[in-house]
Amino acid sequence: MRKILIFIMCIVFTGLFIGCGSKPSNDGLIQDESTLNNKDTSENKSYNVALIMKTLTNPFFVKMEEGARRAEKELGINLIVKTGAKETSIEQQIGIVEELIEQNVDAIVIAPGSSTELVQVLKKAQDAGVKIVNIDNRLDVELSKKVGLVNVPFISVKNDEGAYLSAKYISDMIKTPTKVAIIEGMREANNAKQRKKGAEKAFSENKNINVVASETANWKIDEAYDVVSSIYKNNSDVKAIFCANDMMALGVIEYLGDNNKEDVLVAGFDNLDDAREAILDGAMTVTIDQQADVQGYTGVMQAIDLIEGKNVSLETFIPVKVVTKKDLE
Amino acid sequence: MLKKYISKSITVKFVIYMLIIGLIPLLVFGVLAIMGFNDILRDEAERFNSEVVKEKKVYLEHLMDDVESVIVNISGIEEIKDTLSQDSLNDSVFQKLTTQAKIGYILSGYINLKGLVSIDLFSESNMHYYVGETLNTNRINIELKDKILQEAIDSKRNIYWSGLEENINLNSKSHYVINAVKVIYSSEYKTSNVKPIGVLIVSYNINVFNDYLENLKNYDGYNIVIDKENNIVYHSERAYIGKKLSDKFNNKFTGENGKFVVNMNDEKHLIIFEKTAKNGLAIVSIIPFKTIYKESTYITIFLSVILLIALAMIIIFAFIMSKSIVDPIKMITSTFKSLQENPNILPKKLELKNTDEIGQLGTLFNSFIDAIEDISVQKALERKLNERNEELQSALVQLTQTQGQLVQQEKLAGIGQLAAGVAHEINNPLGFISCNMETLSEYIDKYYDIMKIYLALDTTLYETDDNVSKSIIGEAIRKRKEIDFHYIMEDTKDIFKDTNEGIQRISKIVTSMKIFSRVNQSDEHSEYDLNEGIDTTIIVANNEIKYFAEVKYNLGKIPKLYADGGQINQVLLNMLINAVHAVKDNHISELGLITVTTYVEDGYIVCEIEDNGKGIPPEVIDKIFDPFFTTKPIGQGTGLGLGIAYDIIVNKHKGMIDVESAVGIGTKFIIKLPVTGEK
Repeated sequence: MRKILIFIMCIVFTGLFIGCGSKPSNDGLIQDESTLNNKDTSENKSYNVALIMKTLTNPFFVKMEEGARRAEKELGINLIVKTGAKETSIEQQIGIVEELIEQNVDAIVIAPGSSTELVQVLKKAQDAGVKIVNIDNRLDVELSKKVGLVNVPFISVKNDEGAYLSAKYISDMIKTPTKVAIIEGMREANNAKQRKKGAEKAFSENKNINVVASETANWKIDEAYDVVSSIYKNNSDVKAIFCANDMMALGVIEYLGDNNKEDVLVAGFDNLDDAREAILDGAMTVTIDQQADVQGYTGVMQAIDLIEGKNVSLETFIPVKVVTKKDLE
Repeated sequence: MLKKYISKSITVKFVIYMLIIGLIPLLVFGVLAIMGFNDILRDEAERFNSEVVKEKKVYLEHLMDDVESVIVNISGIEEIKDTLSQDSLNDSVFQKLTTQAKIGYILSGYINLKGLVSIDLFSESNMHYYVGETLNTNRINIELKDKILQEAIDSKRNIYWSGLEENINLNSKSHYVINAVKVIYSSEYKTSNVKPIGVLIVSYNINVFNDYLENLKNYDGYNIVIDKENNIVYHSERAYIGKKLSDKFNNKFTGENGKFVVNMNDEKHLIIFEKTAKNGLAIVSIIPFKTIYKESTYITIFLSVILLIALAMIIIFAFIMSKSIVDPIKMITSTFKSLQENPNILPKKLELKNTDEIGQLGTLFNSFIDAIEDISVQKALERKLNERNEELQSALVQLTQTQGQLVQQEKLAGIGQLAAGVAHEINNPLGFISCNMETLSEYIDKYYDIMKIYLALDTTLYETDDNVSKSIIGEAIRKRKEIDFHYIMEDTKDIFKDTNEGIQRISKIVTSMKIFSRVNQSDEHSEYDLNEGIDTTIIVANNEIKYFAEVKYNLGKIPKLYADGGQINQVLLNMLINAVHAVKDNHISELGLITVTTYVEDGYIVCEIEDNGKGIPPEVIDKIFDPFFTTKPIGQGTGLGLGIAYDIIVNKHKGMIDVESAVGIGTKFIIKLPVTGEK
C-alpha cells in the first residue's frame, strides 16, 4: 500500500518536472497581475513600416508624422520614424535606409531630401523586399526607371500648382513695377524645382514683376536669413519674396524685421504654425497647406496595401489650400 | 489489530520481510541519491547562473558606460552650454526655430546608440530640445522631469541614473525608460553660486537588448532587470515592464549580489541577482526549481520503475509462495480443523507437486490420513460395537423386565395355583373346624347354662350340714377359686370369640386366595351396575367399616357396563378395606371419612374412593400395586389386594387405576372403566 503511494507520488512529480516550457506568464512575479495587459504595444504588431523624413528641425514633418501615426493606430502596425538631422542630410538619409534594410522593415515611406541620390539605395531596399512609398518630394522618374526602381507610389501635392497659387496671391497684389525674389529649396529636389517653376509662372503673368534674384536657401531657416540678406545687399528694394517653404519664409521675415524692411510681401509654402502666426501678424501674406498629415497617413496606408499585395495607384495628388489672413481670422 | 492480522499470515510476513529487506533500502537509497543529485544540480545551477548574471551585469554596466559617454560628449559641447545660458523666453520665432534646429542637429548625432530612446535637453525655462522616436514633443510630463531633475541634484552625482520611470515625452511609444541625467550647472569651476541652468536627460530602454539579456536556453528560467524600487525595467514580455515585483521580493535584494528562494504560484524559484554599481539596477535570474531538478526526473523515473518492478516481483513471489507453501499448509490446517469438527468424515489426501519440505509434509500428511482412516475404521467398528452393546443392553433390560414379568406372572400363577391348592386344602378342615366351633360354642353355652344352675346351688348347698356334701362343695369352691373359674368362664367366651374371628379371617383369606386364583382362570363379563356393586360391597363390608369410618356417597348417573361383576366387587371390597384400615390408623378416637364418588368422563366410568386416612408415603406409592407388597405388619395382610385389583381393572377390563395420596391427609383411589366395556 505504501509502495503504491510512493510510486504514485513519483509519477506525479515526474509529470511536474517534465512539461512546462520557458516563460511563465502570471507566475506570481509581480504585485498585481490583473493589470497585465499588453499596454506597451511596441513589438507585437504585424508590420514594421519606416517613415523617413528630411529633417527633425522643420515642424512640417511633425504634422507628417502625426498623419502617419494615425495610420499606425488604425492599422495596428508598428511605425518607425527616422529623420535626417538637417534638410541637407542626404548621406544620413541614405544611411538610415541601409539601416532599415538590415532591420528587415516591411516598408519604407520616404520623403527624400534629394530626388536623385536616394534612388540607388531605395532600389537596394526594394530588391531586399522592402516596399517603397514616395511622399512629398518626388524621386527622379527617369533615374528610377533607369535603375529599375519602379512601382513606387507617389503621394504629394502638385507643387508647381501650389507654388503658383502662393506666388500668384502676392503677385496679384502688385500693381506697380516691383522687384521680387525667389528663395528656392534644395535644387536637387524635385519639389523644389516644381515650386520654383510654379512661382516663376505666376510672376511671369504679371508684367509689373521683375524677378531679380532666385537663390536657394536649402529649405533652412538660417540659411534663408543669410541668403535674403545678401539679396538685399544687391537689391535693396525687393518688395516681394516667394519662399519655397515656410521655414525659409520665417528666416526672411526675421531679416526683414531686423532690418526694418516693411511692406515686403512674403509668400511661403507648408502652413507651419509659426507661419500662420506671421500671417496673422502681417509679416507674411500667404502660405500653402499641403496637408502633410494626409500625406503621411496615405503614405502608410499605401505601404500596407503594397505589403498585402493590393493594387495601389502610383500617383496620388492631394489638393493644396491657399492660406491667407482671412482664412485664419 | 494489524499486528494480529500480520502475525496470522505467512504471506503477509513474507511480503513485509521482502519490503523491509529489499524495497525499503532501495527506496531509501534512491531517495537519498536523488536528493544528493538534486543538491548537486542546485549548486550547479546557482553557480552557473551566478556567473551568467554577473556577466550580464557587466554588460549592462558597459551599456550604461556608453550612455554616460554620450552624455559627457553632449554636455561638453559649447553650443549646448551657450544655448542654456542664453535661455530666454523672449526669443523670436526665428531664434527659437534656429536654436531648435541647431541643438537638434547636435543631439541627433548621438541618438544612434542602440537602446537610446531619446535625448532631452531642458533649459531652466523649460525650453525643450529633443531627439527621439518621434518628432512630436507637444506633450511633455514636466512634473516628471522636475522630479528626475531634483533626484539628480540630490544625488550629487555627475551622472545620475534614475530608476524606471515613465517617458517624459508622452507621445513616445516607449512607455517606460530609465534615464541617465546630467544636471548642467552655470559654471563648473566656480564652487560658489553654482546653479543648474539645464538638465540633460538621456532616456534608455534596455529591452532592445532582449537577445543578450534573455536567458541562455539551458534552464527554463528567465532574466529580468529591476531598479532600486523593484520595478521591472526589462522583461522579455513587454506587458511586465513597469510593473512592481510582488511583496515576496521586498527587501530581498540586499547587498551587491546574492541569491534566495521565493515561492511563485506555489512553486519554488531560485533567484540570483547582481546589482550594477551605477544606480542599483539589478540583473535578476529567476529559475524554477522544477527546471533545476529536471535532470533528476530521469533518475526518479528510473527509480520508480525499479521500485515498481521490485514491488511487482515481490507480489509475484508472494503469490507463488502462497500457492506452493502456504496453500498446502492451509489445506493441512483446514483438514485438521474439519477432523476436529467431524471426526467421522475422512478428509481428502493432498496432491502436492512440491519436492521440498512442504512436499515431505504433504507425504507425511497423507500417511497420517491413512492412519486416520484406519483409526476411523476402528472407531467405526467401535461405534458399531457400542451400538450393539447398547442394543444388547436395552434388550437385556427388556429381557430382564420381561423375565421379571414372566417370573412375576409365573410367581403369580404359581401363587395362584398355590393359593388355589392351599385354599382348597384349608377350606375343608376349615369347614369342619368352623362347623365344630359353632357346635362347640353352642355346647359351651349349654355348659355355662348348667354351670350357672349348679353355681346357684353352690351357696345353698354350703349352708347344709352334710359334712360330706360340705366338704365336696367346699372343695368345689376352693377349686373354683384356684382355677379362677369365673375368669375361665369369661375368658372362654372371649376365646371362642377370638377363635371364631380367627376362623373368619382364615375363611376370608381362603376366599381371597380362591378369588385370586380364580382370577387367572375365568373371566365372565356381563351387564353390571357399578353403583349397585358399590352398595352391595359396602353392605358386605359394613361390619368392618362401621366402627372406624363414615361412608359418604356421591354416586352419579352412570350407565351400565360390561364387566365381571364379581371381580369388580372384589376390587371395591379391597379398596374399601384399605381405606378403612388407613382411616383406622389415622383416627383413633374419632370416625374417619370415606367418600365414594362415581361419574362419567371421557368415555370412562370413574369411581373415586377417598379416605382421610394416614395416606401413602411417596417412597411407597409406586409399589402398592406390586403383589405381596404390604405395609401392614406381618399376619395382617397378604399384600395381594391391590395387585389383584390392578390386574382386574387394567388387564381384564381395560381400565385404569390411579392413586393420589398425601401423608397424614388421605388417599384417593381412582378407578376408570371404559363405558363400552370389553369382553
